[in-house]
Amino acid sequence: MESLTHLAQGFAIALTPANLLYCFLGVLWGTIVGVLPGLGPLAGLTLLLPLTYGLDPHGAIIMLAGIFYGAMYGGSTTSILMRIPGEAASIITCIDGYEMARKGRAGPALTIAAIGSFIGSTVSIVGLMLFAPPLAELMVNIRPAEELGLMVLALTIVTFVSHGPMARTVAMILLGLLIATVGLDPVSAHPRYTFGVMELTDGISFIAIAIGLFGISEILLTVEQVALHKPIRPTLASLLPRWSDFREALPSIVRGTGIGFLFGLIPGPSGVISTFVSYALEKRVSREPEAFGTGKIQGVAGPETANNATTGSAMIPLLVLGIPSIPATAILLSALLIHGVTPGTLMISRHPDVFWGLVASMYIGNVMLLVLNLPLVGIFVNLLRIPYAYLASLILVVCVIGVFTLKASSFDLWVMTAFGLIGYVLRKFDFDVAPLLLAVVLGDKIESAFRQALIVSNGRYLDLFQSNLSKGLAAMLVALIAFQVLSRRLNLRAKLPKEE
Amino acid sequence: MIRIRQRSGEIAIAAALAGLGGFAGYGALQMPLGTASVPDAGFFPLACAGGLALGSLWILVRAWYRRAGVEGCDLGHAAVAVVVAGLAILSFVFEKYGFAMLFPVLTAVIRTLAGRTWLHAAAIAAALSFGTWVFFVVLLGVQLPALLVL
Repeated sequence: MESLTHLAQGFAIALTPANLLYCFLGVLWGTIVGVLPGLGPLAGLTLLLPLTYGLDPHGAIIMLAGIFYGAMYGGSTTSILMRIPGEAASIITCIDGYEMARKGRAGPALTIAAIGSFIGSTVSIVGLMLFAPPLAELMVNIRPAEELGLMVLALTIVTFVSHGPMARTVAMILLGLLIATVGLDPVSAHPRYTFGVMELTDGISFIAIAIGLFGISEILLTVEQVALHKPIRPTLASLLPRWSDFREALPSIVRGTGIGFLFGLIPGPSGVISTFVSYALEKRVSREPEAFGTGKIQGVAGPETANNATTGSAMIPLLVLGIPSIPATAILLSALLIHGVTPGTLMISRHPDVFWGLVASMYIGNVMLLVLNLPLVGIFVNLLRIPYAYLASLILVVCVIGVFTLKASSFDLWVMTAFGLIGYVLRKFDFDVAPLLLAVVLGDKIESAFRQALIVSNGRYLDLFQSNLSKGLAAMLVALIAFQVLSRRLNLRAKLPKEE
Repeated sequence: MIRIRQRSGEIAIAAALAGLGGFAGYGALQMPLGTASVPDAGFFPLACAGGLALGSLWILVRAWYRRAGVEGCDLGHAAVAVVVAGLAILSFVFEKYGFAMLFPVLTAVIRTLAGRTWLHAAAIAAALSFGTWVFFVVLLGVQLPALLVL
């Protein structure tokens, strides 16, 4: 009941004309970045973040969150119509979505993807609304040792779910943690790796790093391989699915919602993984698994629902624990901090207006997205007619201005350019840069929690595991590592006969 | 354009990361380290740098002893070089000359990426520069270096 009262207050905030406009602009930009290949939610968020500096916290967070979940909707359009995933979480939709489009059934594929996305997203927001406040109350007395355990656990999970060999992911995390140490030591104010450069005393700007690693490197990778694809253009009349399509897709949507919500809670590229798990599950439970890949509607409904269902649950670790589980929520974290709102156990009690305003705006934004992604799908497809050279140039200008406005200094532009080049080379050779960014965000917090925890325990490491939560986290950490080692051994054994 | 084998690329990146780890570790040793019970400024960076150096060496050794495959990556694409050069120029001069430098840089970038004539590229660059100036400076009131585009 209390939640409903808070939600009503949230709607009062989200329904103001200004916040409705920010929500609309957010979901519109999110859909655009989702539609455009080479721009995902992360790049979309980083590009627009500097523009929110002048807004009030509600407007800024509502707009940025709109980009995050809007991009998940938009990504399916190009996957279905052009076989080009607009963002990583829509890769799997290419398989059956494009096959449906080739058979003249692009309309039903787009409609089911949009309806599944709407249902997945909405259920996920209900979950956020129901689980976040009690979890925050439960975690309100969290101590530095437990906070440290949670963050280490988050980074450990990232090493397991990130693509590529684990050693590379660990190296990326350590590089990120090292980058986070640049600047003045938070306790003694001793300069670390500043080399007498004044700009480095504040540390390296996270936004400049994020725009470089994701925005610039994405452009550099894309300009190498700009290819012309002819999109399939559905008419408005052809969008209506048959009743049998709904009947076949509904169980997949339900399963996709559950998978997406659970995976959203897990740190790492949860959106992408949830789509693969959902697709595999749909194939397994199907009576005709061999038909997958030839245009099965379940192959679109499940994964598209799953990737959208991650958006609400991915907000839970961010808003309740202050721990971003994916790079996109790391950008939301920095946006909240810029606007004086510290995500964590006390956020919901200290800033209920921001939390419930955000929840309410997500409901509204989802309805906006359903409208944007069904009747207006043709308009978004037309965006692909703009030559990529012009789009890339425009994005570069926005990146340059966005980063420059951080401190009105060209130093951040150098940082962005350098990290753009670093990200380009790393991604070329299959090094996942997402863990690096997450580690940069968590680096400060991990070090502070580590040092505070040691102060509290009088320097005794064993005392860090005194509370039940600490013990539980440590046990999970050990179990995860043991599982990883065991699964590797089993894989190795399975491979041995082949190699021999 | 240069084609670099996947294995060679991995070795080069791992070596660079190991070098960075070693350098950062040396830098951390120059800071007050404290003790394991009461860590000071250099403790955490030293741990991260040490871990990075060791982890990278592990990647390097594994890549070194792996059989080289045929797969590789092309580096040095002209379009990439022009975009990076454009960004470097902007990083160097944007603070001083602002939008005045955006136009020539964009012209060069569009000319290379789109493969159109200089005139066409200049027209698009002018439109983009003017449009972004109106959007950021006039509409959003963002404080940017004052020199105008046209």
